[in-house]
Amino acid sequence: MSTTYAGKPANFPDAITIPAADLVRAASLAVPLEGLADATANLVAGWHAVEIAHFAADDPTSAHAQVGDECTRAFLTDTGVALTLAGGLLAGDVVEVEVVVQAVMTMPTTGTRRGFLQVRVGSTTSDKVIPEATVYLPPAAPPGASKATDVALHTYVPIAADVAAPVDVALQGRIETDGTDIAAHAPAALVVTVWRRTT
Amino acid sequence: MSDTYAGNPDNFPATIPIPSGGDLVRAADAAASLKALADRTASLAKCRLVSLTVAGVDDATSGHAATSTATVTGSFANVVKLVDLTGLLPGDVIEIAATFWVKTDTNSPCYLRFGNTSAPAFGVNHCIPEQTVDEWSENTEVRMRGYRVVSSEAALSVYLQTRGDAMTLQVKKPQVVIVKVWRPL
Repeated sequence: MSTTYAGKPANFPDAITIPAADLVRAASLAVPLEGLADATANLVAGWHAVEIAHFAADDPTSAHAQVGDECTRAFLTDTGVALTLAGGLLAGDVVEVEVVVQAVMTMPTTGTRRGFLQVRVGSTTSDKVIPEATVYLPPAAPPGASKATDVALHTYVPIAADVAAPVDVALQGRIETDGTDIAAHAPAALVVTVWRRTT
Repeated sequence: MSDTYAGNPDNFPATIPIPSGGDLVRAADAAASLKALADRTASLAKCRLVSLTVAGVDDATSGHAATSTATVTGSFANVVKLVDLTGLLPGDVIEIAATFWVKTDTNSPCYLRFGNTSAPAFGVNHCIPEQTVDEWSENTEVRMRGYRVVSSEAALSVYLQTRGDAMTLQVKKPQVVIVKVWRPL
């Protein structure tokens, strides 16, 4: 004969009770087992990382090789700095994203030009906080000028509804004015942590 | 008759002894299994993330509109409340990261940090380097990270603070704040 016990998420016992008599009765075992079940329920109810994924383009010789295609449009397109989350996302999850990359913008003519970088999580870009980073070339820049900028982004995406795996995460770029492009170059790193609490 | 056992957070046993066979279980056998599980549980709880708070203001059109404006003085003062933290315990470690845009109207130094005028400043300050004449009127991206070890306060409001030469500081979109509270066992 047995019963089931789910554990109490609000309880993380300071200690459990260990039976010390010679032969053990079920009641003596139930007490410490419930304590352990409470502790594990408490842990899973708190924030815990369920997936950490990373992308890296190393650059040991400081060659700053381009990673992926350059972004030449006024709307966002992906750079090569990207990864895929193998697990799905659940409503309530928080996806934390950190990106460090060298961004290079070039332009063929004079004028003030800007390029923008941001993060995409999943298939759309419409519902997330955007820590946009900008690369800027001033009006004094000569034709054909380029500028390399170290860019660091740190953002999050709260997940409102379940998302089936796989989930793409990519650094995206766009330009402000035609005739300009912006591209990701090595060294580049992208780290994504999925935080979850199970109630 | 029984003992209490708190678990050893520095021990994560690779295996758990499981009593086998059809005999009655003796206390020593059960205790070995229970203590091993208690050690594993304590190890997993050694440094728990007990709070994760996020906040931000989106800027989908790259308009970089101002969300608040402050008159900067020579003393640090609160500009924007970033987050209210509650349920803190002594020893908790607050980790805070923020990304946002600012703009000043004067070519002079301006400094930013996390803090609260009624509580000690966070452990890491952030300084906006003195701006050049060509750039002081441009939007500037700021990325800050800091931490604080809780001493006794059960609740804490965290603000973006500023000081510097007399000027006007605008805090602008986009803005991202991520605050984690880690609790050692």
